[in-house]
Amino acid sequence: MSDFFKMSGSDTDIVISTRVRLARNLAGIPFGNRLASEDAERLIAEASRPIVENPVFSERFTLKKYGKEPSGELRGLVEKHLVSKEFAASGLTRAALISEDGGISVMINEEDHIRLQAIGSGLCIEECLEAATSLDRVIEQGIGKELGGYAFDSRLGYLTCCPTNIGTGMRVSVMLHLPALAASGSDRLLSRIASRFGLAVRGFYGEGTAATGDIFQISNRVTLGYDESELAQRLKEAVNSLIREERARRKEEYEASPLAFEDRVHRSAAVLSSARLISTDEAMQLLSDYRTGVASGILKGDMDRINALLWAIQPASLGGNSAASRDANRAELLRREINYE
Amino acid sequence: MLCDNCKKRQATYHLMRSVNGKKTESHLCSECASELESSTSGLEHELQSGFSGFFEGLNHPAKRRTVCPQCGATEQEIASSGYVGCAECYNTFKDLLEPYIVRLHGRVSHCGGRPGSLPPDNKKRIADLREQLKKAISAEEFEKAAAIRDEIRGLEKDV
Repeated sequence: MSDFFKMSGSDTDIVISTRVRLARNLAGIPFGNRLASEDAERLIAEASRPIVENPVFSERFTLKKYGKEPSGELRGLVEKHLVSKEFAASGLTRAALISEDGGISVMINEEDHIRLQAIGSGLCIEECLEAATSLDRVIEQGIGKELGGYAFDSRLGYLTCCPTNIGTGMRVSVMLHLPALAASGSDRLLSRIASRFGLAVRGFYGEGTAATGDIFQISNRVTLGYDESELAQRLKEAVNSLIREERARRKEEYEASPLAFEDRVHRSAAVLSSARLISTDEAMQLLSDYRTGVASGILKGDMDRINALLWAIQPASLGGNSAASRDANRAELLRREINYE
Repeated sequence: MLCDNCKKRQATYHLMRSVNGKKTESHLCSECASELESSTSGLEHELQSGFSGFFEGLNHPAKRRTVCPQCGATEQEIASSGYVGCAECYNTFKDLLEPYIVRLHGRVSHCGGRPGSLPPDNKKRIADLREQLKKAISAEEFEKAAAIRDEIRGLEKDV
């Protein structure tokens, strides 16, 4: 199992990961939905060259091209949040550049020409923003001028295929583990915080998905009219208030009945470390309890390994021909990774 | 689609007119559209309505381009998909897109990063300095205020 993302931040008891994504397009050729296949090929060559030919980056990144045929590998990358669902499902000639640690990925020919993202574990908005911005500069400087340079307007900022992304073209997304809030009916609190800070709240797998394993993603809705650091700061404030609430409720829950709390996390660890067959849903719920146990200091465990398991136990990451064989493989992986005595 | 008037050039404007309550539609090339506009300044222009999705009910000017000259995207395609076809679409369909952008983002005024190939944008720096100037004056730090004022003047020359 590969290591979790290399950049690591704070508040890992609650924050699983932080992601900063930048959307960029070239002014001289049509956007993704109208892109001719020869332009798509040209763009892959132009946008990947600054990285592939850079002596520092070339060793750290792998370039992979994808055609129309569906790919199991792409589904695995979607589960790891390294490429988007839209990228995996697209019929365009497209490519992904992914760093060896999985911390940085660049999608070429998604709905926008270039979408680059930096991911780290824990709360590390500034570090991810810095990494994404530096890579953005490298790509921008290396792309041939005949494609017109980055599409940019002084009033509208970076121009994107969908007007929801114009301006900074930046989406900051923080993945939070909120079991105590979820148990006490978090919907109202989450929507109140989201509307106060102008943010969107989603489930583990993105838009329109349920909060599997008590995991929520929170991201900025607005991308224009504020600079990158203002948008990042607003999100950070919202995340910090959720962290405070979650910690307070976990404490309340523990104090109300320490025995019941400890019983729940120990039972989850016992099942995870001994089951022979386990479904994704059950594993996600048990991992949520196990993570809470480790975060509270009741159980021993490594947070990065637990976070990596959240992705590793997903169906496409596991492979296998049937749900039953995956359930067995999942159980085996969990027994190997979770040492509970 | 060819221009309804000259039947030679590509129609890039969609014109709707209403005279005494009777509506007429025409698809014109830019030359014929300009000619018509200058000869019909007294006519009341009416807008196309019935746009789907988020563009519905917005006010559009009487004359506008309906096909992007760079990528060929039409106004209808953008209205139904919510996606533009290229960078030039933002210019071509400005009247259509800007009210939507205001609705999405609250304001149309980029103040974030810029491509490294462009000269730095001094407007934001000037706005920040003006704030600092106000604070320096109210704190009666006049030397500091004079220095800030000079910096603003220097930057304003470059804008």
